Amino acid sequence: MATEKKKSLAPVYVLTGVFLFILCAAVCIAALIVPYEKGKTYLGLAFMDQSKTAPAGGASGLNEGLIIKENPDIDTNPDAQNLSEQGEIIRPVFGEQYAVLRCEAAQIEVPVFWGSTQEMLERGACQSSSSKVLGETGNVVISAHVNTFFANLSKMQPGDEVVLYTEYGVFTYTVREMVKFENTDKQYVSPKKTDQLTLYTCEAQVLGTSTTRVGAVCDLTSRQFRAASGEGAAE
Amino acid sequence: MKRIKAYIPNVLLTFLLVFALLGAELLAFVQAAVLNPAVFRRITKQEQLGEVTYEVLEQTFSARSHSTGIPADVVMHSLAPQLLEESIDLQTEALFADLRGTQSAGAQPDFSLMQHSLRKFLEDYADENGYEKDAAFEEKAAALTEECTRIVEGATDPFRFGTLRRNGWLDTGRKYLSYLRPAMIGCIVAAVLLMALLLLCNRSQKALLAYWYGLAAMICGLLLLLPCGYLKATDYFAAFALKEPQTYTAVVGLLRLLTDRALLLGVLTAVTGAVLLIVSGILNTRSSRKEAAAP
Repeated sequence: MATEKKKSLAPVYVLTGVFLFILCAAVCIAALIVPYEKGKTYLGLAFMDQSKTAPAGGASGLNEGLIIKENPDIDTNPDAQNLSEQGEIIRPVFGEQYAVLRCEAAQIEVPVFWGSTQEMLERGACQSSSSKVLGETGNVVISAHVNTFFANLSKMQPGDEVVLYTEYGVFTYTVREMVKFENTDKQYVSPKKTDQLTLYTCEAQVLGTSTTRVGAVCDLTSRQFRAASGEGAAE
Repeated sequence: MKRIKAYIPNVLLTFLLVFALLGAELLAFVQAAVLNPAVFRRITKQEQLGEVTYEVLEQTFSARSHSTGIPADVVMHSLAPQLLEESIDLQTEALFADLRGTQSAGAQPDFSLMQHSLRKFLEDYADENGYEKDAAFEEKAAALTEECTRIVEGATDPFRFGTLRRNGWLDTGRKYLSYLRPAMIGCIVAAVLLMALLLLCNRSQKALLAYWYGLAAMICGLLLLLPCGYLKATDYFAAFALKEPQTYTAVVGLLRLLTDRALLLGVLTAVTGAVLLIVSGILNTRSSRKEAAAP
């Protein structure tokens, strides 16, 4: 009889364990609600990368996933018969080489990438994605390192011709003036209502980087589109 | 009725014992694992933070060379992964010394070789280019050396101790640290008292005593095990948003290590509880047999 009684208590012990576990878990959850609500935003920010990608290396992990695409197909010797004043602009993708800049007077020929990152600056000149795409009206702003692609920028003179070749057109500018400005001075790189090309780089220094920028401000002299370029033209 | 009278205090005492054990375990874990510079040093070595930082610096100075004209080798040939690892360890030691209000050994990371190398390059460069070594040269050279040293020191702080210092978290940590030991002792004393009370309630029933102790340990273990298991199974910390290679490697590596240790602690506690529950069952069966065998 006694054994039967003891056996019948087994479910009580099991249920007690389950009940106590649920109770303790509930107390823990209740106690953590307020701290969780307080820290939720910070937690969300700190662990926001849902793709859970680990950086593979590089000075800045922020450029992880950036695809830099060079474009060797840009024709820098276009047939004049295939160029017209009307055409469509092809908007570039960030990290894509969409133009080739050439200035024979200063012996500069450099690929131009859309957007600007450390990695892209190692491969060519970069056009600020906040400036106008070639062919649009406004300020086109391109920069590069002084010790690499724009080493000869300061050799440009007013009147020199600068040509930018893209897949959809050829844009020719003439240097209006050579300028020097501080990196905090935005007057040359800010948006403009007139067609303008601004090229700039750091001032060459014997020691270290300079906060001074040297640049060339150029006026648009011709805007020509290739035949069958752009979406509209293709149609 | 008598059993119910004994049952309710046992449930209450076990409920309290779970939290006393949990508190003691968590506080001991923080003391032994989280606030232990040896754990940080282990991560530095295990995750090869010296190597990772070296690669990052190499790329940083290569990229800078395009604008400064100073080849990356000038800085990098005097830096070695081993030196960078030592620098990381020294920063860890200094932070924990600050946190505990004690004096660190006072050793500073030694980047003098890099500074000499940089200085030599600048002087040679000035000689070759006829640059006058006047006060302006000295000023620029000093600024450059300081800038490079700052970049290297910044890179050798993968755990972002500098950020903790600047944001005043060190003072907050110091304040809470002073409560840590008393709180831990309080939890241990409470756990011992509760265990003694349970012993008192079940002094004639060893099987029941083992059951209540086992239940408390089992629940405590599960409460540690479940959240840690979730973090590990989902690899939650891999979603860390700062992708600077050395910071990501250091922080995620540290959090994974701490999760593993907490998980182990949870497993050990739960296993202890399970063993006690099994012992309780065995004792219970034996006493039942004895009772059945008695005339």
